[in-house]
Amino acid sequence: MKKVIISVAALVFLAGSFLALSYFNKSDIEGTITITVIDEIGDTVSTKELDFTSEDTLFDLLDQNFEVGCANSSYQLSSECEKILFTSRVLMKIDDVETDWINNYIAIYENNEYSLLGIDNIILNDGDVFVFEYKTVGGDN
Amino acid sequence: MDTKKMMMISLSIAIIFTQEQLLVFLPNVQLTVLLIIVFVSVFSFKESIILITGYVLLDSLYMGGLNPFYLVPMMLAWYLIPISYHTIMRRTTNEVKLALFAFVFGFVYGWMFIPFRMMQLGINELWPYLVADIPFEIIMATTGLLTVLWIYKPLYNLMNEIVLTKNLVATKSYK
Repeated sequence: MKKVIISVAALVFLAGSFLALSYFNKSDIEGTITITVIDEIGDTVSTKELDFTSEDTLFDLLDQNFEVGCANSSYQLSSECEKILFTSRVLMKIDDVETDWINNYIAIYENNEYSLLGIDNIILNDGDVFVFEYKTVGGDN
Repeated sequence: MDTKKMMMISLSIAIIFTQEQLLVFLPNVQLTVLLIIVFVSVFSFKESIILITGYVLLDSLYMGGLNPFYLVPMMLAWYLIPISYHTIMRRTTNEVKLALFAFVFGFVYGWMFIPFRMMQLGINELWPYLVADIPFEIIMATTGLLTVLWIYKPLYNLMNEIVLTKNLVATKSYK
């Protein structure tokens, strides 16, 4: 009986935590964001202004407007960017900007702030500016 | 250490590594915490340290090319299980106590990576990383709690029986 109670409490805790996290993680109903992609030498490869609705995610907008590649389960570059249960996809390629995750990666800046959230966990607010920048591991932000 | 124990440790590493790869599509959902607690319960402290070292080296080699930013925190975090088991846990086999330990360990495991990830990515702020990591820690903690609570005892009894039985068989055959 004790084990059942603990198990139910754990599952309630799990479900409650994710409900709370999703509650605080809601995008604006609609708006416009700007996406900029910067390559390994610091040049701006592309800048686009994109409209979004509440149905869109940052990844959806990227996927529709750029050629993107994601990490597979072994952190190898894959063109299949399927949604991952519970967590965020890892971006490894946007157009010609390609990374290997071990030595370099794509950093996301949201309104000039280094984002510590993955692409699927970032919420969209009207007027947000996102910069996707090639970074060397251990380099300066 | 005798050959049989070395074989058992090698097979234990293979079991941990294989199940982890099979469950890799589910982030932080794995039986590693359960299996390491079971193996730590039946092996001595020294054998447990050898098992964990072998497993972490294999896992880091396969997943990250022995990247020290993964290898070191992973090694330190998994070492906490045998250290805690032989000290604060007092070698308990009570599945409820061990399940609660597995729950706490889920969070500690995540925290262990934070300073190394901050160094690797050059991040200076702790708080946002801590918050971003919470969902993964919750999944690992809950998975650890539930698996240890329900599967630890039957696995422990089975492993214990194997260790005891094989001991006798091996001793007789060598004599």
